[in-house]
Amino acid sequence: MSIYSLYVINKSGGLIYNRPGMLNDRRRSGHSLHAIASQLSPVPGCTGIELLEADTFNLHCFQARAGSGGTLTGTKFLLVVDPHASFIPTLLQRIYELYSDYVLKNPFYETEQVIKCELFDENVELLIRRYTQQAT
Amino acid sequence: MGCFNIYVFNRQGTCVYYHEWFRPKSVRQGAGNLQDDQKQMFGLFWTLSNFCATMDPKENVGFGRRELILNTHREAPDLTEVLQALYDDIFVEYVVKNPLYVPGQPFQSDQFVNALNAFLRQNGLLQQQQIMQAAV
Repeated sequence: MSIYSLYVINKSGGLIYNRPGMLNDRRRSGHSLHAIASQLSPVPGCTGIELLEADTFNLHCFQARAGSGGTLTGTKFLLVVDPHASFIPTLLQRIYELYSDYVLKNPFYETEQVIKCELFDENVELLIRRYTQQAT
Repeated sequence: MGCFNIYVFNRQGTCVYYHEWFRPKSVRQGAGNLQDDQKQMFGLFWTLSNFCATMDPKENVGFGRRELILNTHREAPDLTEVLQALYDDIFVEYVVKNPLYVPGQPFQSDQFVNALNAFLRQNGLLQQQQIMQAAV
């Protein structure tokens, strides 16, 4: 049960955070896939891809909302995990809480810019380590 | 629980078969017309498979060309085997073995539609009500 990587994407599709730090331009296409998927959806009110299951990994997506049930802010949290991992939506929710505490409340952080907050890094690291320990 | 629509694509990416049972959000609200909808759907899956190959933490080759796309309700379980059976027992049986079928060309076959409906109902993916709505 391992967590492979975490990406945060801003509303214009730019990568603003990635762990463990491998960068690949293709990863940005996740944003447009989202938009096309919601356009092609046979049901109204679709907000995009929530979970992508592949043979070797699962990609979970969490979209930040303004208030509970409010409009989407466009910030997306992508988590690439082992196909057998469980409780990922809860983990993503916790990561979002860390984001709001250590990134959004940081007075030196400008919205939509690359996240460089030590406290956020540390706490995400801690959370993921605790999760992997609990799971095994 | 039920299905919304099904797409069958050939190797060149043209949609050889499309059927919808229930589509609350019309094509006009999405891609515009049916042809564009099908093209975009193929493009979406083509990009998704490339995307998966780049995202893959284990550096596998990624998944192969998808030819059958079935849109279902969110509550539906993992349908990998159902789709495989759909291909083996229904598509091969009623389309490929049909002497009038030209490989890679669009087809219309009542037998195929009936078998498809029966198969999906058998797997609990189609409700009588939906077929009625589609017929109207």
